[in-house]
Amino acid sequence: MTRRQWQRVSAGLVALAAGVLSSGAHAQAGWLDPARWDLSGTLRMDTAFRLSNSENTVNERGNPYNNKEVQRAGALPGLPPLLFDSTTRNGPDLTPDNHLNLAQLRGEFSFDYRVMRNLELRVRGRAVHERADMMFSKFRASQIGSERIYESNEKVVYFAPESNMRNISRWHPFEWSGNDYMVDFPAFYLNWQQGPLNVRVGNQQIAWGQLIFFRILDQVQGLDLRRHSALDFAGEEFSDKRVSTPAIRATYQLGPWILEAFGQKFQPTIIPNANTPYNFLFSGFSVHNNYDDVRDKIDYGARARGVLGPFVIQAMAARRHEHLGQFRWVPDGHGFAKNAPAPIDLLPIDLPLTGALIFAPSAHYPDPAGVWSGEEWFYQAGAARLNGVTALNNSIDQVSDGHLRTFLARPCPDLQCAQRELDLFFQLFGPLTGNIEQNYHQGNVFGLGLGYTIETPSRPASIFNQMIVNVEAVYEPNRVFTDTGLSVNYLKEDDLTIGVVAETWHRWTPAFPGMYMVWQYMHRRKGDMFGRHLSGFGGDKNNVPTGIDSFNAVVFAFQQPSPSLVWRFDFAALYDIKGGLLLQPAVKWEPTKNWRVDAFVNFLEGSLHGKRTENIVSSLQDASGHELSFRIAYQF
Amino acid sequence: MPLARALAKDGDSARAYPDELLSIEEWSGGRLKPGDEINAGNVDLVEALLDPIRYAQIKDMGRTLQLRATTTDVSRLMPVPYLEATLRNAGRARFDARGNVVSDDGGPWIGGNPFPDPRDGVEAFAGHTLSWGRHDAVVYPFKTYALTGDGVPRYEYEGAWAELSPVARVVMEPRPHWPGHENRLRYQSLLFVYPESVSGTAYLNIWPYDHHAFPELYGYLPQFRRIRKLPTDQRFEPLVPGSNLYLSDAWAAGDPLHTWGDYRIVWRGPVLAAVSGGWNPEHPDWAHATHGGPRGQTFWDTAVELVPEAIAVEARPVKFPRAPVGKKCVWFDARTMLPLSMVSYDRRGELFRSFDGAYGVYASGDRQVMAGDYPYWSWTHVHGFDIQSGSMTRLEQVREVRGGHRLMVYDQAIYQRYLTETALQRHGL
Repeated sequence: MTRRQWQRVSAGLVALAAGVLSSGAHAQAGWLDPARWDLSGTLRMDTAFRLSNSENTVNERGNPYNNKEVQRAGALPGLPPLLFDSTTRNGPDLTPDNHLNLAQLRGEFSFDYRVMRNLELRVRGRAVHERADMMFSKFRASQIGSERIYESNEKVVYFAPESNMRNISRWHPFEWSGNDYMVDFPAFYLNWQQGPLNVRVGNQQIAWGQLIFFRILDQVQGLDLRRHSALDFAGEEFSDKRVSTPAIRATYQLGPWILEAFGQKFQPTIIPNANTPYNFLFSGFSVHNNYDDVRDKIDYGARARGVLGPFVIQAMAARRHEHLGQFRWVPDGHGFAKNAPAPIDLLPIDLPLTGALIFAPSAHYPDPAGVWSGEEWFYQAGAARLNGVTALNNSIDQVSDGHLRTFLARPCPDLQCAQRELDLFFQLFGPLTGNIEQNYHQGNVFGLGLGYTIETPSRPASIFNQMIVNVEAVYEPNRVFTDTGLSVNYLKEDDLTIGVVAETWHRWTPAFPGMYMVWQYMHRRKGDMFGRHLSGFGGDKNNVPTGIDSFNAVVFAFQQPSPSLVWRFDFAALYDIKGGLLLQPAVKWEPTKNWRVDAFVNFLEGSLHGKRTENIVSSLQDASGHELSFRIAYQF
Repeated sequence: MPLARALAKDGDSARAYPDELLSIEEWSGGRLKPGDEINAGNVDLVEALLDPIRYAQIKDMGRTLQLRATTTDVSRLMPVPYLEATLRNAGRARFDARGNVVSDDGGPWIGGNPFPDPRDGVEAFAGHTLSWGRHDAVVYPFKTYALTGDGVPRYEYEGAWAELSPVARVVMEPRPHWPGHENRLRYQSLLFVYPESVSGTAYLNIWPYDHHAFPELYGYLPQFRRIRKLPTDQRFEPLVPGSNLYLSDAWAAGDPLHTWGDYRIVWRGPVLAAVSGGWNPEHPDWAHATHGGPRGQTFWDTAVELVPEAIAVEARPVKFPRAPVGKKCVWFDARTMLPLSMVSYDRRGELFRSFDGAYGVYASGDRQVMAGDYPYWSWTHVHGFDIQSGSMTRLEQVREVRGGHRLMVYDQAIYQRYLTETALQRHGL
């Protein structure tokens, strides 16, 4: 569907809504009648304090190589080192002293309008203002002399995804965002019920599956990670993160079975922008996002869920775009180089045309925001779960038909060779950024779920009594992954993900209500929870990745309310069996009908055992560090 | 004349009881009469007619009760179709080997109260558990207010409660059983629409006909944006912050019959209860006025009358080994087997919580709400009180709540609108 067609469909829906509204107005006296509509809302302040003395290591301010002297030994492949020097990445202006990860003021409202007895308009609006910048020091491009990588934007862009997805216009038809604010409508749809049929038309969230946080059957929509990333209050799962989509969704109740189908406009996952506190893409990458190529594409799918004997079974199939997309090298995606002289570190002056001749056809551009040494290159590659050697080789061989070979660049067989060649590049041209493009491929996903409730009537006090166990699995044939060397040829492999969840309420003592407990296990064959291919795991500044066989994680969480439910004590733990642990103790307090306070700590440890880059928690730890969060809400 | 015969004759209970049990004036020897107020100054006169917690509330917390004349026309004390079915099907109920109530053909019960003249405690509870609200299907819009021990109204909620019986139906077709659903006792859902923090939260309980089995529980929780199956055996927790109401408290018989046990009748006698006149048509929303407590907002204004005979039944939560409740005592109106009040005790045997409801026909003067061919009869308000903390939860049935949820009764559309997973999804945002 073309954009013009989308516009026509949108206009049609609005006209339909208006028509229905007006007809309803005639059908019942007074379409402004207060009995027809409800309005409620919440004002909330979210604050997260960083408890460690570091900043996000993929951002300019938190790069661990800042102010650190590194020895370089430049050499062409097959030759001994010729140039020796040392370099120190961006200097004292970038001392990582920020202790505020998040300071967001948000307002939300819900508006329901009853058009007719079986037709409603449901709207939920959200406005968020990020205030962290106003209180704490932040990154400025001018601090490092970066001229183009941040497009001379002196502000850190918290919300407008166009900062990362530079070549696209508004990414979502129901969102308006800028540097430090966003306004959107996570729900804006007509809800129609006719007997057993429920139809929703408009912007909406669609969530499937019994597992919490482990998104196995929950395949329909991506995540918006600009508001506290995935580190928000665990008890809320992804309700604030799931990306709403303009969609048509029909649900039909057939006895104990629910049949459901949807068609939706594709909306991608939105990752935090460069140099924002929860960013997880190295800020030296310049991303050329190709969402425009697929923004009018339709994803669709269906699900059936019902009871068969003692089991609850469900099956789903969907054809949908990979929400995060896939990355690969691309030549000068933003045209930084072609009109500018490039600096040559060994020469006192910039030579005309060097930008166009050397860098425009390549995947790199000289800028202080980039990588300064071979060692840093491999450190960044390990942290990003990439292979530094193949990434170098692919950038030489695959971009613009091996353009860099013209300048004697050659692929390397091992880390030492690659590190020396990279050192030589950096010695010659200074720090280099990387140009990558982000594409979204469509694939098929098939899922099955099976649920069973354990009952022990003869032992009602057993913790297993009324325990609900669900197994869910999805299979994705020919799933497209980012190649760990950022090759222009993506990885394609059949992928299988399996999860098990057991949940129960158990009363430990008559004095307190039952504790809600959840145990979960997830096994992924090819990629981690963020979609990174497992063959990129295990690398660091001294080693190329060896990969891991599978991703496995377990979760234990509980919620223990006080006798009156005014207080609730939550705990969530995620253990990556490769040595990562995320702990989140939390407390929730609702002192009155209007006020609610949440406080929680995220404790992240990515170095329990094994290699740090073999688990996913280290990635979260590198980004946010341990943090203490508060949320104070007033609802009306 | 025995009660059953009196009711069968013309629906008037007056012939079954002596005059002193039909008039508060007679009973009190002229010291009280309809129109009088029961308060701390005279509550000792009627202590024998009150459960211990209501007595304490009046004596110590400023609660008052307005006296009205005894209603003897039983058709004003429950829905007429249910009464007619009770009389029509008298003597046809029994327990099968599993302990389920069945009719003489061995199938699920066919409507009305199977044990209108209960011989023991389990019969008293069985009839009531089969049909809480005495309607085949109904949606109650409600508002509830939770007050702290010092009388401060801290929380306020709005929602809708829906019940539908697929068996023992007395009005709705098909009846008495809904083909294909005979293995279910009840579909029941609870939906919250206010405030924002709970709006969209909805639970669906599907009760098996097996009186031992726990319902299946499905929940739509806004934070998950989807329906999830939930464990169902924890039924002694507040549903929302600050509230004193548990799932187990519903209609004083919120759990499957045989998850409680040791049922026994412990007392019979007259009581004061709000069995009629509870509807307040003067308020456009049918809201009730309050009084008493530290801030004058703890208790609903309530009119009570002398109920000639109540049956007090005790039971213990035998399938809930760590329940905070050690036992409960429910007072049933012997004429209707409706629960009048409930007092529960903690596991130490101390007084714990109490519930007392008010009922009435929704007709007054020229104003009435119809339910099929007859004026609507239902509960009107409920007190849920924790005597150990002093906290009170007040609940009232209102005309309409946010979301456009209005009273519905005897309407099969209730099933699709409130009692399926699709319905839960529709109400969730």
